[in-house]
Amino acid sequence: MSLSITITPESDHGKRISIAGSLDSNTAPQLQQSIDAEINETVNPTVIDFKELDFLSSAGLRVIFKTKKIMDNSGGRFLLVNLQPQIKKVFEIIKALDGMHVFKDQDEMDEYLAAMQNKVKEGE
Amino acid sequence: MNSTDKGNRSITVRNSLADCDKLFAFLDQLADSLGLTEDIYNDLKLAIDETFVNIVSYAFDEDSSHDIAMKIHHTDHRIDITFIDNGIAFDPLNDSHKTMDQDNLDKGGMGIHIIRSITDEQSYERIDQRNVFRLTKHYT
Repeated sequence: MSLSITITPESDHGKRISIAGSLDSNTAPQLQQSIDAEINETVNPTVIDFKELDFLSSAGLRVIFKTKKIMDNSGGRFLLVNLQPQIKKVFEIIKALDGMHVFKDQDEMDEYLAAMQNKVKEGE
Repeated sequence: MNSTDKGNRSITVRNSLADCDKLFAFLDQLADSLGLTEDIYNDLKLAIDETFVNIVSYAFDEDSSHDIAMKIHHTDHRIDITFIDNGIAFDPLNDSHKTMDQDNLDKGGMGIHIIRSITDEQSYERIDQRNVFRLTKHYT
């Protein structure tokens, strides 16, 4: 199976990385290349959209966690959205969802982002 | 190279990550003929990916080409997947050299943890200069 990667702008200075197909030991290097080219400390938030992803293995998880580290180091938000049950299960096996921003769908993520924006406004 | 007898099927691939797709295709065929549920299929596919990448990464010198055989044996409510290669002795279950560090998941070490979580039994033997790694999954 193959992996396809689509990168689109996200609100403010963010980027959305939509991945489709299979993120496995064979395709993970493709995602790493895209991340290396697109994601740096100026990007915020980084959204990974799993909507069309059917399969995820630990090689793919490594790329996800490397990306999270970039965002953690720059203080940017790292958001995961639209995880299918079989994808969520892999994250759960390694107990990696604690402390990560995971949203079941776009609506839930939009609510979170709106709440964050309100917080910023209240603080002004 | 595929072979089939009753309940026992095997495929041989090279120690190249790209060949993992051949193992997946082999599993796809089997899943269709056995009518595996999506959950079981996903677990087996994940176990195959994690095992294969471990063997390719640790059982061979980087630039040498070797065969890796995968045999799938199926009986009622039980599937055994056996990987056999003639690489250097490598026991994926001996993970003392690599532990999963929750703060450093980007460094890896998750594969064997995943394998243990999604299969019911795992065993490793060194037989006749070969690594024999077997995974068992029970299902209803």
